Amino acid sequence: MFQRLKLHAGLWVSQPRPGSSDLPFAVGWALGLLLMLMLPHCVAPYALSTVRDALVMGLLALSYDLLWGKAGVLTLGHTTFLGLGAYGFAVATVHFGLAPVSAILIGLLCAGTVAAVVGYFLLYAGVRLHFFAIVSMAVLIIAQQLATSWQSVTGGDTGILGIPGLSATFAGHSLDLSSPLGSWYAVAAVVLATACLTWLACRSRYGKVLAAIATNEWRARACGYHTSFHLLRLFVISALLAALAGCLMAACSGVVAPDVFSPLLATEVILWVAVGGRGTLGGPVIAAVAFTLLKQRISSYSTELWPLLLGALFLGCVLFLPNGLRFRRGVINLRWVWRAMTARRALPGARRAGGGQ
Amino acid sequence: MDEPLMKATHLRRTFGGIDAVADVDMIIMPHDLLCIIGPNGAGKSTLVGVLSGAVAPSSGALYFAGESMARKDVHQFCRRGVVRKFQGTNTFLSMSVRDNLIVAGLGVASHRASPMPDPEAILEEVGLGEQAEELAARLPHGQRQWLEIGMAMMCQPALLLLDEPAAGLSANDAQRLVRLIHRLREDCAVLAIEHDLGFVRALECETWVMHRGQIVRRGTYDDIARDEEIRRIYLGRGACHAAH
Amino acid sequence: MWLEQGRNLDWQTMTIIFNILSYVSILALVALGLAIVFGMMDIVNLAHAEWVTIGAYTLAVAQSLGGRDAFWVALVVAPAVGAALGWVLECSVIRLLYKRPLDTLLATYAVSLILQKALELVFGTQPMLVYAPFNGAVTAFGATYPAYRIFMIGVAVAVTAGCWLVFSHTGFGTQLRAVIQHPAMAEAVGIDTRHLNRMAFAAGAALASLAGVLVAPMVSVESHLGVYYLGKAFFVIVLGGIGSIAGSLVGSAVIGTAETLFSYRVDPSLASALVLILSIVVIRFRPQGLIPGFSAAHQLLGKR
Repeated sequence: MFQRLKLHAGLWVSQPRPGSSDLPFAVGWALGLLLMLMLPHCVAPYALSTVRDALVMGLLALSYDLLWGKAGVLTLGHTTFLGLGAYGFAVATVHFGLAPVSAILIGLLCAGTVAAVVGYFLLYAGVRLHFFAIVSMAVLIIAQQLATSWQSVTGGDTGILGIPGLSATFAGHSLDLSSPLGSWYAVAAVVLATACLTWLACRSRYGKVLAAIATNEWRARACGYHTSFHLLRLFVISALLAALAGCLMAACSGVVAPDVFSPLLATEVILWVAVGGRGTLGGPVIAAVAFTLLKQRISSYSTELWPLLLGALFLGCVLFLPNGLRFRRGVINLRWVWRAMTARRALPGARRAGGGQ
Repeated sequence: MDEPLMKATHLRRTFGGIDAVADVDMIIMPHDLLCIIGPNGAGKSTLVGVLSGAVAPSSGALYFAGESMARKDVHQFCRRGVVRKFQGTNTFLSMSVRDNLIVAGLGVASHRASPMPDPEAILEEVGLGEQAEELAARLPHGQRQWLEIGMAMMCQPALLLLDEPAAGLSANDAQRLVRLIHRLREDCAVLAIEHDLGFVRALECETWVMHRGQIVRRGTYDDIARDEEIRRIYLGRGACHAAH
Repeated sequence: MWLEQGRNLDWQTMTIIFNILSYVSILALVALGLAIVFGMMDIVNLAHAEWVTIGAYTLAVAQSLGGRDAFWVALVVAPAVGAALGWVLECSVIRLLYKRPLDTLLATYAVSLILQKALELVFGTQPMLVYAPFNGAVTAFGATYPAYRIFMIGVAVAVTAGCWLVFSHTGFGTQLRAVIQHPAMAEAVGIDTRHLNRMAFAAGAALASLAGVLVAPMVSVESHLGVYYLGKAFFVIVLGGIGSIAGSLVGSAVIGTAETLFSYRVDPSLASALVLILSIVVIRFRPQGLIPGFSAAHQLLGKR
């Protein structure tokens, strides 16, 4: 059995050699690590909490980029899993008094189950594209309705308050991460670790298979892949990551309310990925942080302005920037220019060899 | 090995009242090399679709290595060794040639828990060694055909279904393909449907003629070329008098 | 005594039947427009339900200006307004995205957000007042039922029947059906598909606005009115079968009945959840819908 495991690992996880295309992410990640260590020394605790909350949204963006950017599965209701994770965590800690680590597992379980069930019934029926997106939106709307009306569990409109912060106990030592500094390190560490793992996974052969399924699912099936199963697995993993973001969000802010299921937030997630660059993994995280901080700023002036601005931005982005702001585009253009220049250089040589034909 | 590789009995596929495949019986043994020819609309592509699992038969039975293939999906056909080579427009366009091969081979290898064929060796065999890093979308049509063949080979087929393999190939490439098919025959059975009768003649194999969904003649290419009725099927009634 | 019990049972059943009919008829009106556009252009218009809201707000405005009887004016004006705005949307946004159906989904989603917010800014967040044009109840088949609801069912049935007639017995309807089945071929035989698409889009928008006017006196008229109907309408057409009018009607009947019956037993949100689960399970086993039409939009399900 161990042999089989080794074989499978060798087949799927095998990584190509590091190359120039890896540079943007590696550099960005290193900068992120630097930021994680330096930022607490540069800004006040309140500002740190704001950036930390934005970073949690970055994790949400990462989970969505995995689903839409890498596997090509568009959903409109991804924040369902954010909310399920958050509510799961809240209910487990406030109503049942569980430790934060167990509560995170509960939150993940809630989201994972819903994702598995909805995903199974839809994906295995061959539902893709538009209709999958619409069903996900319907699930979100219903989740919001349930969260508002199921007072006894979810606390109705007010939601659940007094959620304890993060803490972990191992071997008798307890680590309290609920302070602004502690929670910052926790959240940043989780985001960096997740980003690194997903990047490695997508770089490997598994990532190639995902890309193949996203490009031409029919052909992938003809190559022997049970594509519905692959998509379902990815859907559940993406939901689990979103739920993790939800748990972190609940733990850090101490409160969860039905507006976590708002379609507005679901739209923002799509915008982050669309603007940050579908499939780049790092871009959406940065876009999420930037937009969340921007939203804070604008909402402090006027609460009506942000949704309108968001809608307009989104529309503009879809109409005029279908591939997002791509750093890579610039690099591709440079490469093309280089090739054009080197090609021109070859021509005089060829003419010489041809004897002036 | 007396067991037939693929056995089909009374296969029928109907589209809205028209039988694309009408009551076809066939047996394919391992290492068989078989060509199916016929005029347009004879049902050849539908037959290949049924044999590869892409199209479910309306009635009839299909057995592969003794196992019933009823209600099995395309990927299950591929995992058991029934691999179809498509007509060249179905590669993963946004990926490089080498990546196309890797993806093609990984699925089956992972399912069988066996190592994947070496992509470099396949690249050499199909003559795409130079284009390994090139995006599939940038390949000219002929080279994309070779890529499709390479991808089919990566799937470690037991029965290789070739859908118009010579389409768009130059005369040189067609000869190379004939040699490759004879080489592949050592590893698997090959069934080709083809319009290019010169190619079929060069293959020197058993040839079947399909007409209106049925297999009307089986024999060697030379037998069939001489047959008056086959000529009538292909060319219509007035052409009987045409010179050989 | 048996006779009395029998009559009571009849009364309850009739009330339930009327409730089902009134819900189904609104759903059918909303879904009909969506079905035609979806089937014809493979365009998912997520802003479709906003036209229900627009219809409702038109009624509110008309009645605030002209009093209760302005209802009859609104009944004609709202579909016209809806059609005009639908035409504008098609010309401005949809037209740019013909080749990119998935982006149309996102773009119309953005439009719906903008519209919701704009309506909120213009009319405020408080629900607006609308009045039914007439009160009173009607006794029919042993049950006493609000006259307005019966009127609403009647209008919906008449309009749906009218659409069916246009679709199946007129030249225009034949052209529409041709474009649904095979847009490229329809163009090849000289049908101006662009123009037809625009008209179908506007007609669908008008139907949705009409539904909005009819349903307004029974619900709270605020900017999120349409959201409730959006998901349901899409379920209706995919469950019923894409590209077939009969399918969307059957789908409305199934979903409307299920939801009404469930909400007698459980909380309305739970009823919605149950209907959602039911629909997903049905789709798993019959992905092409209950009465599949023949439509280019079939490819959206990823089927080959």
